Amino acid sequence: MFIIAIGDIHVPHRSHGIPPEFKKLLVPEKIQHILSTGNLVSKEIHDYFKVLTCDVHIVKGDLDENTSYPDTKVVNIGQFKFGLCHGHQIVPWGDKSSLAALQRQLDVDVLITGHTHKLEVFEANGKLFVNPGSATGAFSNISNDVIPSFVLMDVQSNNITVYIYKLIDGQVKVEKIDHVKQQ
Amino acid sequence: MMKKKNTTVVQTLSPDEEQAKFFEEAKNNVMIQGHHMKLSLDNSKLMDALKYASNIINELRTSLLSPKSYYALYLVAFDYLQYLNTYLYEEKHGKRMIELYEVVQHAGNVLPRLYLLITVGSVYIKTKQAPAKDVLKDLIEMCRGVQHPTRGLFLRHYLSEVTKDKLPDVDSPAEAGTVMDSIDFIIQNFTETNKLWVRMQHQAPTKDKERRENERLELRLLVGKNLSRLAQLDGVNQETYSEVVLPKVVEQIINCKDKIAQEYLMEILIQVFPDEFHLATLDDILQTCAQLQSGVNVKAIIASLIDRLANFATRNAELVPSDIKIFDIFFNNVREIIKARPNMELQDILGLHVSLLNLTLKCYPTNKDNANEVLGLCQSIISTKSKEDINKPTCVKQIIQLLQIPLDVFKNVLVVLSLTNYQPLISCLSYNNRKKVSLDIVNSTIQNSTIIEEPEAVSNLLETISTLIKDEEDQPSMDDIDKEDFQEEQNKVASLIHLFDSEDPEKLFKIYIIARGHFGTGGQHRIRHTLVPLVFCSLRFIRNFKQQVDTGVITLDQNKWNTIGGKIYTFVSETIKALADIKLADLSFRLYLQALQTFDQCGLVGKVKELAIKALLIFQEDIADFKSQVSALQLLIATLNSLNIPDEEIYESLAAQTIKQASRLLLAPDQAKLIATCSHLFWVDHPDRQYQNPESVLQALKKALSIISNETNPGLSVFVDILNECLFYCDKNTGAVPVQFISDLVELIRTTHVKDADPALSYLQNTISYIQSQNYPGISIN
Repeated sequence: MFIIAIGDIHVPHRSHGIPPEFKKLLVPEKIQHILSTGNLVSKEIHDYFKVLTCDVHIVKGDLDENTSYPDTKVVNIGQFKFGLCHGHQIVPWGDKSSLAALQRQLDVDVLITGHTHKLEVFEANGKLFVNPGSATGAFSNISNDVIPSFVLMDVQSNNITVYIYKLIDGQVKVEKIDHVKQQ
Repeated sequence: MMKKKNTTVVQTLSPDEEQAKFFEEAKNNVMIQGHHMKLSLDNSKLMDALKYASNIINELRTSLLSPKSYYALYLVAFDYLQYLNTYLYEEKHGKRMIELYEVVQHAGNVLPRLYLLITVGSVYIKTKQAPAKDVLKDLIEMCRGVQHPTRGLFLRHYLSEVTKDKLPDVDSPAEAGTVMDSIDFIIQNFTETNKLWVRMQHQAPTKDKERRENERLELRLLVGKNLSRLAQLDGVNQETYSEVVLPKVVEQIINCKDKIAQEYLMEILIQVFPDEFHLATLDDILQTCAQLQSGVNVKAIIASLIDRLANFATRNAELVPSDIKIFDIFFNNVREIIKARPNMELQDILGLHVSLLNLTLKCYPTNKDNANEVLGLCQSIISTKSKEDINKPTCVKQIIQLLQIPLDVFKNVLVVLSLTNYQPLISCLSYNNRKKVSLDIVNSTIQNSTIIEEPEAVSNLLETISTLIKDEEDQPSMDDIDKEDFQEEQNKVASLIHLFDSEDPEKLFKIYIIARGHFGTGGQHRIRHTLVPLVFCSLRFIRNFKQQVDTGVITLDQNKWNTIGGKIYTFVSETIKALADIKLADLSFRLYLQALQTFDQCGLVGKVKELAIKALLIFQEDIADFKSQVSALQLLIATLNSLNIPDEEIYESLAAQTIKQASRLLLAPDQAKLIATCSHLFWVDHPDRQYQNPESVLQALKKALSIISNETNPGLSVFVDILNECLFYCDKNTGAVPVQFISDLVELIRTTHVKDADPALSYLQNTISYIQSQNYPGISIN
């Protein structure tokens, strides 16, 4: 099962659109779920997600125009529980201990957050933490030199293969990380 | 007693049924006579056969049949005459052609006489017993004898059909004749045929005009075939065509002054002759169009010619002589034609413009001036037309096409905007259509990711799409506008700002000021979308600028830097203020916080303080909804915690104000949670800043605990939040939270506040498991 983790897109605040190199890869028939960390910020991006798949989950970023998205969301997919939160609520921003506390609160196997525009995938205490970064490489006060990125997760029984997509100098680079659910 | 009268029922046939009856009768006669003719030929009785043939043709003297039925009858008769033709050529009937030629001239009536003469004549030519040109001349003279339109048309068609493979051409022996003889022959036939065809129009009474015109159209091939014959002559090369053929054909077309003939013949002329010929005579053809009757659809003729030649030129560029400026010839002639035909429909005029535009962009893709001329001509013509005419759907559609085609072809809005006649043409349209075109321009820019580097170009672009940028006189009221569509449009316009870029910082900032000037006139419904990207672009600008100064790419002294920082600060804060002024409290608060972070990174501490004050003011005065207050305050805490601000006094003042606001929140659980979060204000551990006050950390946590403990039915969640905050300070080895405090807190939670079915139970359990797994010295939990 293919899940796209994507967010901090900031159209039109900080970008005019998701890079065409990424759009070419985001093919409707291939994606089952979209988990978005928020800060889309406009309806145009929400509509775009809905074209890709009908199972779209979005949480509220600090600047989203749609104020009805929830602050956090928990989604069960296969054997995994995914937690979703934008991350501007976490103090300090991007801190691993604070993220771990949120993971405990949401009681999830995988925690997906954003806000820092810093692409990161790590394991801690047997749990998986994913920050897909900014799909548009949008300006951030928190990180310098932001590169456009998003994450694809392939969930197979108790294993997730994480594919990290980065756009560097017009080329899409992909990295792979494997994660097994701990009992 | 009255006798009953016997009434006979008379059958009245409909016109169609009548026609069918006449046709059947005539056809049967033809077939009977034809049958006898064949028998006679089988028995070598030539004279008898000729008599029967004559009878066949007699049926063609009828006046009872409609042109359509006559055509059908003619075809039946034609077959029999072909049979005769073949016989005459192949059989050894012993007679010399010249004798036969004499004999058939004695046929009683003119029509049979002429058909037979033509039949024999064609064999005469084929057997080479007489020079082709002489026989042809003779035959065509004789045909003058039939002046009845329908009969004459078919007679001349027969002449043309039967002689088509016997016309002298380039490879014929000299005595047969030259291609000029053939040309003369065909042109004469063409001219006479056309005259008869035109005469059909005037035969019928006016009430039958439409029927007559349809009948004429059914027979048009009989006339057009002549032009095909001309085209089939090998000897008709470009020179001959230009100097001999075309002038004569055009003369007849113009002089016949008949709308149907003119429209059809121009179409056929263009179709049957090769494109190279048309290129060489382009001026002549177009000037012919100018002289056609006023009802003729010259637009269709010219448009089809343009399309043909555009295709030809693109596929065979090498075959186009360099002195033939296709576009110029078309453009100049079309302009004159439009002038000469004041009754031309606007939609046809516009159709010609679209064709011309496609022509130049296809044949001369890099030539912008041609495209601009087309737009200019269009605009000058439209300015003489009424709004009513312009707003007809077919006309609007074509004007929009004229504006869209350059966008699609050039794929670069800068090129399109350099067409000086582009913007004036947009202003001819109604409000919704101007908006549509403006949106097309925006979408085209975004899709092609066209970067706009020059301030004048930015200004030009925003002027051109002004219908999207600000209110205009003929704008519908806001109630009539679809809110969602409007928002989508404004967000698209807002996206444009990210395509304004320059390597030169001075130019770039100038661009932002220009954009601000334009967007600022948009009114409250627009600026809430369009000003936000400007804020972020200017924050990015100053941060990048600072980086370039720090790395030595730009050399700047401290004073200069401060001045620039001040300028950008003013720009940013005034832009955010414009949003605050229209009561967008949540948005402007967040933008102040973003700006705060940027100026902090740039080391402009004074500005950080000012922005924080503005943010707090908005918080206190304009954010009234208690949920919004919680989100806003949470963001403020996180922002302050992230700063590198070196000035402790300012920082501590802001921290104190923040805590004060937290304790004033409406609901106790919110107060407790946020005060617990405020603990982080006293523990800052970045590479660029260390600010650590462990007593204040603990104080905040204790205060939070106290508030939530005093609540009746507090629920588990906030307690566990506080617990996790404590663990944060343990994990970082801060020493701020004593282990006893943690153990006591766990005890308190477990004994007092654990209830079944509390949603935070798993949160608690996970936290406890975590504590156990960490083995903190001094904490033992079961």
